Amino acid sequence: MTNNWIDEENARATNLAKTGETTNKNAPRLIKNVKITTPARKIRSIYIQDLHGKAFDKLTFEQKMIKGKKAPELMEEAIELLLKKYNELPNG
Amino acid sequence: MKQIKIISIWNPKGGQGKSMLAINLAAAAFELGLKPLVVCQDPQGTSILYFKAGNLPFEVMSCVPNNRPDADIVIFDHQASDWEVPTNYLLVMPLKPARDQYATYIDAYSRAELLGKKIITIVTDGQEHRACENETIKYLKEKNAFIIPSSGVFSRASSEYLTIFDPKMNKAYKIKERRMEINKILAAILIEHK
Repeated sequence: MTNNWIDEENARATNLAKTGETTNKNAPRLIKNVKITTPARKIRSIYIQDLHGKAFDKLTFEQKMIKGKKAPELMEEAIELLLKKYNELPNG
Repeated sequence: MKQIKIISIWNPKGGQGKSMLAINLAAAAFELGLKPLVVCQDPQGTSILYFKAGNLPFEVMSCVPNNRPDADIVIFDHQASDWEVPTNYLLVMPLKPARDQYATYIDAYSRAELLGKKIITIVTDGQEHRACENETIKYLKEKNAFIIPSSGVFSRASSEYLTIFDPKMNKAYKIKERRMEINKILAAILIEHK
């Protein structure tokens, strides 16, 4: 007998999930105030060859077009790969 | 850079055991030698209250940290009434086995399932001697849910803001069983990967 109500609830929930609504769609919904924070970053200047600079600019442009990672994140990714290669761990 | 396991304890229904699971899973992880971090996302701040009482061997933060935390496992303790499916892959959904509790759980579960989330279900506070609850527990067990029966261990621990892994709880009745149940859930979480 109990399984009947489980089947009923499962069917109701499946239909509801398809619409994206809650059982009481008129009730006020919790709105999250999500603060998107980025990690603290500082400007670091390094000397690199022009061909590397241009290739990096091209990569960041392409990533920007597909809404991928931005320049600081790409640079951090590159440094992480480098640190991994030389078995160094970033502190903090 | 070490991998951080991220899990969300989520169920829009209140009182299902989200905070209880968050702090006890973190305590189980600590016992295993891991570094857990609990991020309390609930204005009620139940996990925060446990932390402030000073008995936890791990940190509970009140919001998402700005920088990558030094942790092996980050547990998000979501608030009740939160209908937004968490963005991470692995969700832990506690529920009590009564029909009205199940109704909210299955609504939320269906939403998360549509988004391709991996969901670990935990039946909490179940009383198997009650026929109607027993049927639900059996049904969910068949669906690979974990079961934490109703037990005085949790209320005893909460009276002093302790986890059940605290040494002060060592002599509590059936403490080994309760710890084993939490450890099993943690094991399932740790072996799960996308």
